[in-house]
Amino acid sequence: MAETIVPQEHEVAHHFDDLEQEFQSHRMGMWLFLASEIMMFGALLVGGFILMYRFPGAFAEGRAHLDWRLGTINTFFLLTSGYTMALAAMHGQRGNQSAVRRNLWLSLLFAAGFLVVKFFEYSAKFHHGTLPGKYFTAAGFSDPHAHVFFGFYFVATGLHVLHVLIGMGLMVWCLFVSRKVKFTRAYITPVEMSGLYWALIDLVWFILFPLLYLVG
Amino acid sequence: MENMPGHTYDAKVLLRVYISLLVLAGGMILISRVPLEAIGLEWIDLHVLKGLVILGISLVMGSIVAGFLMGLRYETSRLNSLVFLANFAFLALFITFTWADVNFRGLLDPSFTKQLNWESPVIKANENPAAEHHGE
Repeated sequence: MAETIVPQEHEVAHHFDDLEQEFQSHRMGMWLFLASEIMMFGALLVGGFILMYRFPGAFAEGRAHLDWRLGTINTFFLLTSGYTMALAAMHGQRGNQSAVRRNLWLSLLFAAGFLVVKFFEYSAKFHHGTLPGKYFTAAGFSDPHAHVFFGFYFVATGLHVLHVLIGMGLMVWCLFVSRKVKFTRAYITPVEMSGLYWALIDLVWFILFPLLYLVG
Repeated sequence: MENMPGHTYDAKVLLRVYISLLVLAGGMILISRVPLEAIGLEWIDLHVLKGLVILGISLVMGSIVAGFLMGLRYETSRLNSLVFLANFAFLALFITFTWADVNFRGLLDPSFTKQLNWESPVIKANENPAAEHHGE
């Protein structure tokens, strides 16, 4: 017969005085990590803006080959998964373990939806040969720098997709943790830190989406 | 409750944040679809203005996420806010040095600008009759 796991109260690690100190240390560490992420994406986005300024024709022509409707669907998926992650943290504070799990599953579902749309977008690009650098084989583009746009598109969205995959991994980890540890008003650290990471993924998309699909 | 770590999540606030983000995203997309030719204003570059408005909306969305979903609005530790804001100082440094490099490259050594000698794969694809014609 399968053994039922009853979630236990979280115990403060021995090197912390109390929950407050433990939480603030985790949050500080997470913010330092997020700072490095923001600098990495910031440099990438600055590069994107500079390329757009240098090759406006290439960006206009390349952008015409992206489907803004797919970008809109993905924006909805990320927005909603960000909301459900925050709801998971809220229910964690209220000690509602099943609602935490339900919202984590919903977040995972919307994140998977984002990846499915991205898969269709990428496969169309591979099919038409609109790939970065020397792999660019699509004929019919008038701007000689059109491949620069697709180089930026694949690097920026590829890095973002990698973060989405890591974020999904964190959600799965939270689901495992929720079976063993009881979330309370005083302890929701795994869900809150994963939520912070997921919010950063949202934030980056809010700049990537208009830059790639809408502006120009 | 005052000794509890972090801030308390409020369902109403979260719902308002979600709806406002949806509305802003919708507004951003609607503005991007406006046909500028139909407006017919010639004394102002509407394409630039539209781009700035769209990016402005995206910055507002980012601020809402950072403030409410990432909890910066409720942050009691000034150090965390400082870490977050310090990023933008570093970003300003990135922008300054990259801008200087892009605009003044080759000023001291004109031969440097000729070092970027690449062949455009776009031109090669157009010259190659075997290449597939894009039709997205």
